[in-house]
Amino acid sequence: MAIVERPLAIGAGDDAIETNDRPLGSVTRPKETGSWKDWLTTVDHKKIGIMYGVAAMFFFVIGGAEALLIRIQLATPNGTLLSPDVYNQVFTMHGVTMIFLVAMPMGAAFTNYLLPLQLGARDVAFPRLNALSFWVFLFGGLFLNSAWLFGGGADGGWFNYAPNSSVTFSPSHGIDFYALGLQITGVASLVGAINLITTALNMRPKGMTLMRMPIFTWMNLVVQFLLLFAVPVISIALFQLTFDRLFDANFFNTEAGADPLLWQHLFWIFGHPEVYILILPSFGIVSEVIPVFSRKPIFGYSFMVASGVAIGFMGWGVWAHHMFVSGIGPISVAAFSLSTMFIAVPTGVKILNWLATIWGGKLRFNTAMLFAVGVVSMFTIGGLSGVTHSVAPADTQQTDTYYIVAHFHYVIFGGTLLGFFSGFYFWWPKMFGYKLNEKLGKTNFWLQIVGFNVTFGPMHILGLQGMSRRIDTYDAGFGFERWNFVATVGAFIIALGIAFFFVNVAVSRNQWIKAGRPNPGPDPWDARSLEWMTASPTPVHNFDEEIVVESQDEFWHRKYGYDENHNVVRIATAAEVAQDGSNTNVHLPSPSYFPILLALSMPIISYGLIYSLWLCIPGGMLMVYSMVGWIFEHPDDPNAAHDHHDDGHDGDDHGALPDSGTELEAGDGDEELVAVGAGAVGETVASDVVETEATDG
Amino acid sequence: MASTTVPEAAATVTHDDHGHEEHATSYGMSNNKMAMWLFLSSDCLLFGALISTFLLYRTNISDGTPFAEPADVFDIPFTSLSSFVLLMSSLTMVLALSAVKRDDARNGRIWLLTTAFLGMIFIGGQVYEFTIFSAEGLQYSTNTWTSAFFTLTGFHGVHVSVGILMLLGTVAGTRESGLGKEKSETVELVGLYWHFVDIVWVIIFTVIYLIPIG
Amino acid sequence: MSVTESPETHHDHDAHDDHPSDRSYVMIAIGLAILTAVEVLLFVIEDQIADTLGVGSVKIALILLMIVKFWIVGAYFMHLKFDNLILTKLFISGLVLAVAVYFIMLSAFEFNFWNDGLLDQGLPGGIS
Ligand code: HEM
Ligand SMILES: [Cu+2]
Repeated sequence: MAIVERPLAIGAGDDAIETNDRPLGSVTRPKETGSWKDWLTTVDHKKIGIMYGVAAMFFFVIGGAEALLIRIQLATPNGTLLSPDVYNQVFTMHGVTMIFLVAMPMGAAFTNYLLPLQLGARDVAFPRLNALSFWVFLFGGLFLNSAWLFGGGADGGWFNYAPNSSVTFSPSHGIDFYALGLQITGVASLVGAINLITTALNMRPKGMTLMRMPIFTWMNLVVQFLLLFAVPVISIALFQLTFDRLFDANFFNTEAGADPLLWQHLFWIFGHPEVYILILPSFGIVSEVIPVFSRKPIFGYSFMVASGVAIGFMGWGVWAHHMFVSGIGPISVAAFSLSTMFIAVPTGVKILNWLATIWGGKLRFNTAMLFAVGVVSMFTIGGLSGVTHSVAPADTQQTDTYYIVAHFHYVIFGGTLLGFFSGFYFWWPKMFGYKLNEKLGKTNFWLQIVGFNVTFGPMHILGLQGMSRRIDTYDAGFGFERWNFVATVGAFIIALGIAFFFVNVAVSRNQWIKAGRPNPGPDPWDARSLEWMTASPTPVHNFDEEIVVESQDEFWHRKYGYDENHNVVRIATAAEVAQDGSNTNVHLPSPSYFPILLALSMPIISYGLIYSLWLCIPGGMLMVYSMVGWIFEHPDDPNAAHDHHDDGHDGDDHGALPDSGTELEAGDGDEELVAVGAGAVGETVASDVVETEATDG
Repeated sequence: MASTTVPEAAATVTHDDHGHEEHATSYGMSNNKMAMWLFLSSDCLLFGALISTFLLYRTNISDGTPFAEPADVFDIPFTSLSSFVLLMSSLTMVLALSAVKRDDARNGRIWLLTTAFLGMIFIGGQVYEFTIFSAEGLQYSTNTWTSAFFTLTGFHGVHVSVGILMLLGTVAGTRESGLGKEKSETVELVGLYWHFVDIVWVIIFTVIYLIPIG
Repeated sequence: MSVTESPETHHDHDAHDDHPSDRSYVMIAIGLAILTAVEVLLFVIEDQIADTLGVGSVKIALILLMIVKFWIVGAYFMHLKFDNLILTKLFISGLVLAVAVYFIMLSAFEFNFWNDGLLDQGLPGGIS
């Protein structure tokens, strides 16, 4: 197969089999040992997905703690818990953490785990790049949060408007950490986008046309396109900010005649697509959950796809609705007001289709379904308040008040986060081999949804009463007391609800172990898409054999058919249809140390940029070292080819291994992309890299 | 199946010897190629932001400097020459690919090295230009124009430098294994990146250097 | 995003065979060199043209030349003309998107009618 080629097959000569094991003579290729160390070097999309999820949960706890601090501070007038300065840092870091380190990576967690499975693929197109994405994200997030240890976090709000973000107004290093930290996580998103788009477009199984892809995969394909195009925009804005702050450039220096609107435009050109990056994964989850628990196919599949794509397009034409009061002039205001009203249309289509799917279905109100219905209802509220902002004169009153805070929490918490919880309950048995407890799950749900509305509902009122956002306190007597107190109570109810989730995980797991680890079967919910067509938990190699797809909802159509009267009848059990994961004759891409090493170089270089350029030298050397090692190391360890071998299977068996070619190619070739990618994005340190790389030759 | 390097052969022989030629990707092209194009497509937005920033500040060169407009500092004949050099490096790049596809490793190497060399001339020209500017008092933090100009051309320069490293890396890395036909995709991908960097300069040259203000 | 259609498995392996010969590559490069020369020439005689046809015509001519050069390199050197259409679509979507959003952004800054005169007329929305 001509596609099994290695770009930059440097040095992979005849003796490659021996040398590949120690590409740089120092780092041996990791071997699977079954210990926790495997997680550091894994290139398995499932493990990477799980690590994304765990990391996002970790940051969720941090961001949640910050939220509680904010609410305690505002519970009563003249709160004294946080000083104004610390308050600024806390709400900024809360927002940045929740958006970039919780909502985005949690979407990435689901996408990583499920997208290849829904495509019946063995892994993503570039497994090592996938590992790189995760580690880059994790180190970027830790770097960003490490600001707390070095004199305080960023304090300019999550959108960090210029010139307030200049050294003059924010002399601590918080904003440097913000700029460089988001730059790093941006690299993760960009690499991930390239990887996942290639996977979804180019690695579909036979028969799976684009219009047969599950909606979840579709929505995440759109998300990855949004990332592909939005990340470079914020990258440049962040570079400009970094250069302004560290190297005295003048991009946002108003004294030198700079126009601070430049930042606002660049930020929101990224920022509005970003909000769809946040919501579409959840839309995808809901679109999988609702049909399964309504026992009906999704209503209007093609409309669902088309509206998702439409949102992806239109999301680029509305950014200035965040700037209605920034002085962009009446024509811009009118144009963007109009386009913003239009974007509610495809969103509305989705809501209607979900309702139509539920309509007349045989409903099962499992926890997953409850959360999905929660998304539909809460997102509708948030979408409606969004439409009220699109009316520019009204928005002039609303902007920068708690009304906006209410809006985006309804869409991001009520839409995105509830969707992720729905996904947890739905896919948990597939990921971990046991179901979560329904009773605790329902408690989790009700506490969360009630707490959520108690917290953010009143913020609409506060906003319309004129309470501005981002103030550290308020005096008694403005009529803000009651609802602020209510909101704080609500916040603690949410926290309790989320605690129930963690309790649920622990309890369910214990009960399952006590019961002797019963297997939930491949298809515990009577579901529809391909990820349920293999064993639970998903075997390392995903599928025993390649699936040839004949219809949308392939798995369901293999289980059900129609009798003469066009009634749906069961024609096969899930166990009959699903693969049992017993094929051990599958060659998988080998683990590697280089993704984590390469990722580690980025925060080191960033600390160097902030504190001492000298630190960039070891950082740059690590970067070059791991890039060179990456290129020299063959993605597939030839010596490991038979690790997973079972002699019962014949290597010639078409059925058993139709996919080995694809899967090899899956591992191939990310070396070059990594060179290009890291080269292009690591430009701040380019000179170091260039020098060292040149000498390394 | 272009049994390329030994590892692939070793790994695939056992499993993939059932003539699976037909099992192609959904679009019949390698993932690498699609990924490279996606990257380039994303890079359009990157350079777009830099160019727009420059356009926003393009009239501000006079702030704190004796120059009324960019035309006063640009050395158009010089820049035309280096633009020409970069443009011609695209030619040598396609010739390299064409040679490698013919299994003509010798000429492939020569053209790759020529391409890298032309790239270095371009970078040399840029360094020279920066030195002149800086001597004339146009430093990075002089005004908004200089910040935007140096950042834009600097980003482009870094892209070219990365491309040079990729070219040299390809030549060096295939010293032992040979630059045969089976390496043509590597060369092709490096080439795509290289041409992209070239067309970005086509835009920069016109928009920043040639088009008059006013 | 140009992925809405669902082109089925294309096999473009054969398409590789009809790529241009070295000779035509050289011809193309000569063409590009000539275009560059024309660009520089336009720059040199800019004032003369501007006097007769207005400075706008120089700009338009330069931009057209730029687009032609861009297209030639993309279609032939980067092989888009001979490759699977999906690649062109992917690239064009990024390119068009970039041109569109940045054009709108710059117009918001640039075109004076966004703001000019509005302050004097006391209309809302002008920078004050
Ligand atoms: C029906 C679709 C939507 C419409 C019409 C809409 C409209 C708006 C408008 C006009 C604003 C600006 C308000 C202002 O700052 O004065 C805004 C802010 C915001 N929206 Fe939406 N929106 C929609 C959906 C979403 C979604 C899906 C999300 C995220 C998942 C989201 C997240 C946000 C955020 C985070 C802000 C606040 C930004 C800030 O900090 O100022 N919106 N929305
Ligand atoms: Cu928006």
